[in-house]
Amino acid sequence: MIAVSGGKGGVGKSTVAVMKVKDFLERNKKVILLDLDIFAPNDHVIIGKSLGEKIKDVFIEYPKINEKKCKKCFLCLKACKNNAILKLNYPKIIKENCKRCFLCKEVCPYNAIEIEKEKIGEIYLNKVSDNFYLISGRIKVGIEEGRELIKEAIEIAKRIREKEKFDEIIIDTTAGLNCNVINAIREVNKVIIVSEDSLLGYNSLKEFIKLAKKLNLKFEVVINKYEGRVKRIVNYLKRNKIKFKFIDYSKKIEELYSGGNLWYLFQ
Amino acid sequence: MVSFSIVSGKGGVGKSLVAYSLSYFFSKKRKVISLDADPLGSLRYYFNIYSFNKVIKTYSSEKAFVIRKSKDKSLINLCPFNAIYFDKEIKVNRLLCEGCHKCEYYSNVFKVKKVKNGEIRVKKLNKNLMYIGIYLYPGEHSSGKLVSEAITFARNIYYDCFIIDAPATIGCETIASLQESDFAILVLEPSLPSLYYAKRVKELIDKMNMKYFVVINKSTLNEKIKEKIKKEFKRKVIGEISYRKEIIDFVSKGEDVLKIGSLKEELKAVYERIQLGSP
Repeated sequence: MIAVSGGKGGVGKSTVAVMKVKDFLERNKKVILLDLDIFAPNDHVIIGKSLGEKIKDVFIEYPKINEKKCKKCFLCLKACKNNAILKLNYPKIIKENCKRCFLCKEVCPYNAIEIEKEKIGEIYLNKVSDNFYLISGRIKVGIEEGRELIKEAIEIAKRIREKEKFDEIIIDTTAGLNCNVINAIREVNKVIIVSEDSLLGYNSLKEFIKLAKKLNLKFEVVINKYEGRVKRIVNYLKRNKIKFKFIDYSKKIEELYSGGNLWYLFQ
Repeated sequence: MVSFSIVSGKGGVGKSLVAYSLSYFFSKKRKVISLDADPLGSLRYYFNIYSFNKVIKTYSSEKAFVIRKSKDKSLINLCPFNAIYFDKEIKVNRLLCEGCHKCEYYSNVFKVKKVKNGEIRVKKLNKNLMYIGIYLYPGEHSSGKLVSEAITFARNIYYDCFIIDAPATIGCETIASLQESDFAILVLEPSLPSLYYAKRVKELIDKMNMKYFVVINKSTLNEKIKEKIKKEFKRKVIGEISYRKEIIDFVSKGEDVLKIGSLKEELKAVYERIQLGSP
């Protein structure tokens, strides 16, 4: 698995991911593009396709108090150190604070804590061609963190790779350095860190490299929309002996991207 | 007193440009706090900030630590997040630990402690304008809580306009920002990915029962999609800012983008429209 990520938004992660797909297809390899920009997976938009068929609903589990069984001993409240249980007439679970460790359920002497399922997102599959599948994970609006969705989507992609003999999985991530990025890139063999030729891009690149080193990941850098503007980027990469590539600024790519026509690159 | 967030979903569409210029215009008459809720935020480069008056370390994350050496492999099963592992002895993988305290409850090998996860950075720019930024240490969790802490910090300072530059995506930092706002300004560029993301942001804004304005940045990038955006958001659209590649040159050189006269005019029109009242 390869991940395409990079911290700052709008630097061209999806564009680079699609170009990577193109590279594989041209070498007659079978490739899965896994879009884990979970808040709005839009790789299908930039290549003018649809999300495809929904193949999975993803649920997470929360503890829930069964008031018929609860004897109000409040042992659950004493055990929870996350302020996720409130002392009302009966104990009440505060979902926003709950880390879903189910310690409360384990300590309850009356079996009064049950499991409640909540849907957090969906996984889609578009079989664009025999050699190219697009899998997208999309989280429900308002849900902040998609650990389970990301994990499930990666598992599905791996299963398809095994079963249908695909050569590679390319993961496209959300912007940022938060847990949704970390969970998406943690197990990949290599991260392609995309950045842009601007001071903002330079700053985000340095932060992302720190993260990649902390995660012990192999990485290489792509400086997108390159025009020779920020000399410091190249100096920095050379000084630190980091492998990098440029993609020159192209009005054509910008136009294809904005209109959802990046697929033309393939023809 | 007015508080609002600049949001977009998709990155690189111009949130910081809008946040910077509105902070500038509002600070002519009011006391403004300009808060960058993005740990990788660009806002400080628009302000040309390279040092801070104050840096506050934050401890908004918790992690389990091994405080007594143990070789008991059964402890691995205690953690619901697979963060406990065995490598010659019992260890905790900090990246996986959610700080749920379960291991500590069952075993005295572990203790959960608050850990330093980032910084709140403050810069006073002039008597009417203060910048607050956040920094998340690489690999640390709880950036949403870090944003909430920065907001709480800001709330203790006297001001009458609070402008939050939210990060890309609609995760925890954006939700924390919107919770503190009277309304939102949704920034788009005329591209289909930006429109797709904006519709998701709109869903969130509607769910939170908030009002919003729309600003189209790089409006000359693609006429056809610009019209599509206008059709989608109709009267919510309060301004268009033309595509100028020199903006990125200016910011990269540390020069004030508002020196570009025509850009300043377009941004000032947005400011004037916001002053007329909430959406």
